[in-house]
Amino acid sequence: MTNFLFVSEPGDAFWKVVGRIMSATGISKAKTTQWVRSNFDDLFGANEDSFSLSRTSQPSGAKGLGRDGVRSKADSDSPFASSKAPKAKDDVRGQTWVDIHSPSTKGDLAIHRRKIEEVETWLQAHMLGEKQVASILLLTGPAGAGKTATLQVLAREMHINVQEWTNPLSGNTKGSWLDLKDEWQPKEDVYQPTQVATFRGFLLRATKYPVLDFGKGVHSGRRLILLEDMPNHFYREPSLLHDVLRWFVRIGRCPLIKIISDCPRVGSGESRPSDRVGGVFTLLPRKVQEELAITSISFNPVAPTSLQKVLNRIASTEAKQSSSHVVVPDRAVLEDICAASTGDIRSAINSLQFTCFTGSLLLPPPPKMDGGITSGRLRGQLNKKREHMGKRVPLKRGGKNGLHIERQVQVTTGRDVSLFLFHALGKILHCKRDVCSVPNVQRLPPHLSDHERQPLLVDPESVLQRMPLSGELFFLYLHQNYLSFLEDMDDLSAVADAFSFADALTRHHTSWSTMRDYSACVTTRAMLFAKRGRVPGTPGASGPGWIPLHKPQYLDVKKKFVEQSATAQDLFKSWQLPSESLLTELLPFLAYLGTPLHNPAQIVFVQEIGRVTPPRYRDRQTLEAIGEHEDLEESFVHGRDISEAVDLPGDKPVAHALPSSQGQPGMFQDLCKEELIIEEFDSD
Amino acid sequence: MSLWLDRYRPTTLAKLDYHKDQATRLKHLVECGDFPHLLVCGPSGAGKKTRVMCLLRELYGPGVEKLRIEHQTLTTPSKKKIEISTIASNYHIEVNPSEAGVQDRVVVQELIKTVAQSQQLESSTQRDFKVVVIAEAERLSRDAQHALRRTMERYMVTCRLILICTSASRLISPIRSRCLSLRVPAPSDEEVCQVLSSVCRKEGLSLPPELARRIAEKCGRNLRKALLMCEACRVQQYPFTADQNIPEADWEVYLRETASAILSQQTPQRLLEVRGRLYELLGHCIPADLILKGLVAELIPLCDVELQEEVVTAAARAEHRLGQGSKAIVHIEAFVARFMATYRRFVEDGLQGLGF
Repeated sequence: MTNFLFVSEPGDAFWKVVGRIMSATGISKAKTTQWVRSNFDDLFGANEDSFSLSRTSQPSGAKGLGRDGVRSKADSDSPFASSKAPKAKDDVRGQTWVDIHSPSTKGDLAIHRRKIEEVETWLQAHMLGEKQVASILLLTGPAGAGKTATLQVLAREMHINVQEWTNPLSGNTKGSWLDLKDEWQPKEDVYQPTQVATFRGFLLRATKYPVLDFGKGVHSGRRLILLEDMPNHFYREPSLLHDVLRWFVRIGRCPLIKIISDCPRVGSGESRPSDRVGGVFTLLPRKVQEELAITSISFNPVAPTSLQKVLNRIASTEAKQSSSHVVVPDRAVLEDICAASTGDIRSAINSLQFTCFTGSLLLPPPPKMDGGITSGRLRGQLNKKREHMGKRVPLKRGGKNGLHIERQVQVTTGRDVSLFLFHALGKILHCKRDVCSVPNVQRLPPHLSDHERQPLLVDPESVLQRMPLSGELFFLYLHQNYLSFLEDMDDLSAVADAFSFADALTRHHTSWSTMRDYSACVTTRAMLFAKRGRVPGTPGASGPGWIPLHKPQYLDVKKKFVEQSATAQDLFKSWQLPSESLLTELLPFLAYLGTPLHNPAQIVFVQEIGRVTPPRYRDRQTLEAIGEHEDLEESFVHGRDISEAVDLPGDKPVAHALPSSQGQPGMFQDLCKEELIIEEFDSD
Repeated sequence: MSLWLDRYRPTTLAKLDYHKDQATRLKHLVECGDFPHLLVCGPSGAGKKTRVMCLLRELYGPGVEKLRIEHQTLTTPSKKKIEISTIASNYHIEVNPSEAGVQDRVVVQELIKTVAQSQQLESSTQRDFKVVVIAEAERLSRDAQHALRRTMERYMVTCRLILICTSASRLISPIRSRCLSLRVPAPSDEEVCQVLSSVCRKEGLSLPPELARRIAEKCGRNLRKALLMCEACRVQQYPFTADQNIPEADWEVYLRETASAILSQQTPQRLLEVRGRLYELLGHCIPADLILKGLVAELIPLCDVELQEEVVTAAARAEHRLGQGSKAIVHIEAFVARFMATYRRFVEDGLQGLGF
């Protein structure tokens, strides 16, 4: 049974309604416990089996492996792994459609043909050879893009045993430990292997020993290790993972496939370290990928058309089989589900199931009185809920108000859609306005007509909310890029002023964390306001075209500022000057004089700081551009910088970076020469 | 080989070149024996530190000139280590608490406590107090200032404070009232000329009075700058000529170019270039308020009287926000954008007025 995630606002009567629905539809307590049991089957099973280190999921039957008590599961928890045909009607209610309709052949996969081929080629190249070597394949992509499903289907078709690591659920509890070594009385100082050590053990056994053949199914001897789960420690210290992988590449005898889902950071940008982990770029940085010769294939979200095909198929099959419960939603609803799921096939199927069942399950018999609530009011709530649950959606379809509909579907079924930074910036900077519709609001009086704008097509706050960066970082990104998008100096000045105001908003460190969101809001709105909607038909109505976006320079400059001031204080301490006069008065002139310095570090520094070179010209090109699917790892680093720059500890790190004070005569002379040249240059 | 600045720095109160009246008073003050806390304020390059060092020498004799740089590590109540470097002789210690940033309160308290708790060894021959010189006192945080006020009263017996700052207005009034306030005004142009020519004489060079006057004008009554300029002139060309080019700090030249870039064109593209230049300046550790001030000083004379008021208003607002906010570039840029918009409108109106 699928896990439900209910999102509800505090204070609404949602839970009451849910309880109502449950009792109304005859889902009794017993039923609920049954849900729970089926949901945690896994867990209990694991406990009985001692801790399950690996399991093989194979099309036919299961094989134990090693002494660690390998458990097998006919239907793996990966949504498309098992190839069971839809079961009898009674079973259907206990299982999610995601499990029932998981793909069994390549044709069923809703993934682009070429992606499948890519994976298949890799598998063929690395599996079918005479001697199997330890090569690593990395599958990345958003959640629900079908990474695991593809792999499972291909493995089944190619008769490969997939061995998967699952984190031991309760490796440290006594029960499971006892199961393994039953005669031994446990003491407090029982040796417990660390998860990482057990993981290494698993890899070793999985690669070394063939799966035992108990006579069920075809045994080909080809093996494949699948890593989707990982010991948690690796997230904290990816270098450990790298070490293990290096070791595996040395000794391994079968390919290993690692699956990592891209997940944007959760939360509104608190830069807790735990939020930053888990991305491909921390776990397997490009350097390591190259070192270990890891092939990387990245999956795209499932295309809407194929997603819809799958949904159609499932809906019709279900309708045929259990006509009493299932109502096939019409096309528009399917489209909405597709749109709301953003290419996440798992979520789409779950939503579909949910939507389909509403037809029968939620038709409430007149609810009994419950406490003091009048039944009329309750029914009102229930109806309201049902409106949300997708029934109303198709009716509204066709209106101009696309934004509204999208939001409604999201409220019911979709998962939260997070925006890539690039898109978020684009939404704000390009500022789409509804140019066609005639605003039915009252027009502004003539002297204010300057401020009249067409209605917005984006909701700035929702953009900010759905964006993975903190408001402050977004502020910086916006600030770096807004200039290219405005033409009128007055508008530009207004926006610049808003930036300035927004920055001043965040001045108090006590209110900073709250105010930075507001300041992002202020700037965003100012930016949107300054972008007047274009009147269609006028030249330039097609928009400014492609404008590259850049990463903010601010953080680098700020870091440089802090470092340089610290270095200056450190190197020129003997002058006993306050840093301001040191940097603005003494050092520029020392750059002219040069004579009293004997310390190469000082000379280098003076040359660097005393001279203000014209900025490397055309440095718009040299700025780092933001790519469309820019990984946010980079920005996290920046995010850390912000907090560090605030309290950068003194001058320590900088002093080390500079050459030591003695014994580099060659360099010294070179510098003197350079100095002379510069002096000549400046004298005219 | 050291800079003229250091080589010809006066070491006793008697040798000071200007404000001699104040010097004599200081001398009397020391002779009296008792000695209150001092608050020395005055613009940059006026000779505050020089004067304080002269005073200390008067107080303790040549021993104060044996300086050593010490690194001290202090621990905050939250167990955070702060490293701070001090310059000290046997009789005094100089510290710049602003090095510790927001933790300056700890520096003020701990450091003064350690200094003040140890008595002078030979109180018969020496004064029975030590001196703590606090540089850049105006950058002390509010917390630190309150801590300082308490410390001042508590350790009055063994320790005297000399606070050096450019403007006393940023100190809380309890501190100001506990100190004897000494203002060291910037030297007048004549005084600068005088110092320059005396330094050149000692160096064995002949400085044309005309050049001395020009340097004095250019340095903005900042003696440190004047001496550095003069020495840079010497490096550039000797014998001096009256009309030779006086080198300026690179960033000032750069800032001027930036200002003219702003004036010559007012488009978003130009603003982007200007931003690049501003970043460059900030990257070279030029304080934001100096950049803003420099820009305004360059722009104001070049615009029409009608505009000036508006420009100054915009600049004032930008400076205010500089103090409030944390991202300097945003505020300077807002000022530049504002200026550009205003200036452009003004020019366009002017063209229309002419009938184009």
